[in-house]
Order: sequence, then structure tokens, then C-alpha cells
Amino acid sequence: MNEKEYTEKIKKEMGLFEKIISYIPGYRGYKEKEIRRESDRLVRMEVVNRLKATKNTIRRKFANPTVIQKLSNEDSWRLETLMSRLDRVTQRIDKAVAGYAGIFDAIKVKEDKLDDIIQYDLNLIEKTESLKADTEKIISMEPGENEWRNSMDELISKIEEIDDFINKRSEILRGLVK
Amino acid sequence: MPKVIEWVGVKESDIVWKYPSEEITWGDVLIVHEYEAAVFFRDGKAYDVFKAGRHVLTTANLPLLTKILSKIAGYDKVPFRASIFFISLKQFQGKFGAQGQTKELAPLKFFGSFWFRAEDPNLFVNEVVGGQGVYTTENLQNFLRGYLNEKLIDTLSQYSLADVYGKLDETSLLVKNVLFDAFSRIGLELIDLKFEGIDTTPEWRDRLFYIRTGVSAAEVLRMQTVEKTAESLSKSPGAAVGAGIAVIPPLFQQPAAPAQAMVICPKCGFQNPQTAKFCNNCGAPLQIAPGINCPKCGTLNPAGARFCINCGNQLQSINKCPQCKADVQPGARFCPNCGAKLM
Repeated sequence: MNEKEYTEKIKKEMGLFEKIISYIPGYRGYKEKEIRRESDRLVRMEVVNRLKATKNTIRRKFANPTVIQKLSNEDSWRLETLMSRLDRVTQRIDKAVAGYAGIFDAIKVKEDKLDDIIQYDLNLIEKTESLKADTEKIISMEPGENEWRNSMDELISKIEEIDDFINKRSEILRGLVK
Repeated sequence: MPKVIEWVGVKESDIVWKYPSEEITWGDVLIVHEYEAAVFFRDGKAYDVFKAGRHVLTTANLPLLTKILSKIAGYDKVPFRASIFFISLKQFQGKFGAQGQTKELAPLKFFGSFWFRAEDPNLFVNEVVGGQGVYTTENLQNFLRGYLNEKLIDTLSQYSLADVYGKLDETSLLVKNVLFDAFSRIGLELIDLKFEGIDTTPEWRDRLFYIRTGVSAAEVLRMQTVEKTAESLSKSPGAAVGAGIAVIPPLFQQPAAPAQAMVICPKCGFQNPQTAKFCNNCGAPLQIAPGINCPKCGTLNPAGARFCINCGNQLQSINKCPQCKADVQPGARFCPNCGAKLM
């Protein structure tokens, strides 16, 4: 689904009362923005669920003493880094700001900007899907081998990219980038 | 009148708070903050988990009308019940500590901290909290202590004492991943787990020290025998001071090789190894023919001496073989050179 489809889906689910008051001048704009924020939340929840599934897959693989014993200290550190960064990214997406500006604020957050945010967050779904595929590949490898180490490093880099991606989200809301 | 329901006055250790009233009317507004979730129960069933936002609730409990109808029907209270449980989504810290054993049955005390958060609020409320009004980290720690200690004791028993001290990171990583499932079963996520301290008995600490320096286990046990002997002697009321001096030094000595026979230098009296050809002290030859004792004064004379160096007595009368003329010792019955019969 794209950002328009998400918004339309939420609009369709509005009750009669909500539809009537959404035509009241002043309230209409508020409601339109609120619909977009709710749409964005749905998108972000989808991303969060995928990231959580990835994290669970890794945890389960390393809940085995035989597998853990194959890891050197450096490998353990690598795994810990991956897990903590994955958790950080998941929480940042889950608790991301919805996008708001006060009436007299210099930078406004209007419907178009909120649409951009939805579109931006939709790209996160693709990125997390790629992350999930890479994780499954790593899980099938022999832990502690060079190939495994290289793949882990690549995965950590990908998570860092997502982290940077989230930073840019706030720049969009502040009107710094489109 | 419709109410606004929200969790205010949250204490640091509060994980769950139940909204005290179960009379939630149609149109009541529920405010959920970003760091919370709210589980909404209506007529005893979990209806939804509300995330951050403002939510207008719908129940069959209509303001005024329900109260009037309930009184007419004879209910002692409003029959449409609804309840709301707020769950804090922030990270909480818990403590653990217990005593287990390592692979070699060394007693091991350990303690540390773990961090967790509510992952599935509905599961957590239904599996752990139940109908309690307030649920704190302390309540939860009491609940989780069994899970944590069991898994930690089990995991640590697979490692040797040296491994536990040397691979604490590995151990905590394994325990964390093993406990992950146990936590998620009750709707929690274990974020991290760290050991803050491990200890064993003084006796095993000493053993660990020696084992780490490369000393064999047998040698460690021998050293401990010495230690115990010394301790026993010091406590024994009948033991004389000299007993320790006599008993302990031999125990401290490395196992000695079997004693070798020594050769005494005839010149200076120095004790030399059996294989030495010359005295290590004065250089005198050691492997010489034995001397001759004087039959009169008993003095030891050098081999080949004909008269005693002390009293001048003749030591040996040398005879000649009548056949080959070779020197023959007195008392000899045959010539050592030609075999001729002498007597």
C-alpha cells in the first residue's frame, strides 16, 4: 500500500459522526492531519513488528550453549552490538514523533509534510525486509567463521543506515529536506 | 458525566496500574501516553490494547440511564463492567542473586542486574498481574526470581570455575538468550542481563589462583594438604612448637629423587657424587685402590706402602716366586703370574 491508500483506508473507517464533524471549518484540517498521523503509525507498527521478528530469530539461534561456545570474545561483542543497535532502531521507530507544530510556529507541519513522512516510513518496510532476509542467511551460517563475521558486520552497517534514515525523518518534519 | 481516564502520579517502580472504577460510561475518554499502553476489558473480556493517543470508549453503560434501569431491575450495582489496566512500557531494572555450582562442583555465588520491558501488555496482564490494582517491579522480581535463578544455576553448572571467571560475557550472553523465551512467554522482553559479581569459597579461590598460574591439580591439592596440616598443628593444644618445624618443611619440599651413595674424598673428607673421578673440593683422585691398615697401630696407609706411616711396622712381606721371580703377597698359595705352587 502507498501513503494515499493508507489514508483512504482510515477515512473509509470513519463513523458517521466523525464524517459530519470533519466538515466543520477548522476541525477539518485537524482531522485530516490526525488521519495521516494514524496512517503513519500503522506503517511504523508494521516496521516495528518486522524488526522484532528479526530480533527474536537471532535470540533463538543463540540460546544454544553449543552455538555460543563457537564464538570468540570478539564475536560475542559483535552479536551484542547487533542486538543493542537493533533494539535501539526498533524503539526509535516505535516511539517516533507523530509530527506537529503550534499555530504560530515558524515551521508548519501540514498535510503534505505528513504525507511525505508516511512515504518515507513506507521505505522503511523495504529496508526491514532486506534486513530480515540477511538475518535468515546469517542464521544458516556456521557462527564464528570469517564468512559469518563479515555478514554480521554488513548487517550492523545496514542497521546503522536505518538509524541514519530515522534521523532524516525529523529533518523532513522541520522542513530541512523534502 | 463522561470522564477523562489517565494514569497520573506514576511511581518509579510501578509497572501496572488498574483504573480503580469499573463503571466506565459510554463516551469516557482514555488518554494513553507514549510510554504506556492500556488494556481495555469490557464485560470481563480483553477488548483491545490502546497505544498512545486519545480514545473515546464505548460501553453499554450510558450515563444516568443505566443507573435508573439497574435500580428498576434490582441490581445492586451497574451490571455493565469495564476495566482499564495501564502498563508502563519503559525499561525496568531487576536484581538477581543465588548460589550454584560449577562443572567441578565448586560452589559459586553470583549476583547481577537485568533489564526488561513489557512487550505484550495483554499477555502480561492476563498471565502475571491478574486483578491486582497495583503491580510493582518488586512484585515482578519475586515472580521472576525462580525463572532467573533456575536458568542461571543450570547454565553455570556447564562451565568450569576458570571458565566462569574467564568467560563471564559468554555466560551472560547465553543466559540472556535462553531466558528470552521464558520472559516472552509472560509478555515481557528481556533487554539485557549483566553479572555484577561472582564469588566462590576462599578454598576454591586459592585453587583457581594456582590453576591459572599453570600448576597442576595434583600440585594444588598437595599445597592444600600442607596448608591444612599447618592449620591443624596450630590448633592442636598438645602440639609443641617444634612439631611444625619438623613436619611442615618436608611437605613443602618437592618430591625428592632417591638418595644416591656418595664417595668421601680420602684427602679432604668432601662428599662427592658416586660417578666423580676427582674430588670436587680438592681435586684429589677418588677412584684409587684401597689403602692398607697397619696390623699394629691400625693407621690407614696408602695402597702399595710397605711400612706404616705412623709406627714404621712392616706392612707386607714381599716374597718372590721361585719359578718366575714375580712378587707374591705373603700367604699366597699360588703365584699370581705363573701359577706355580708356593706352599
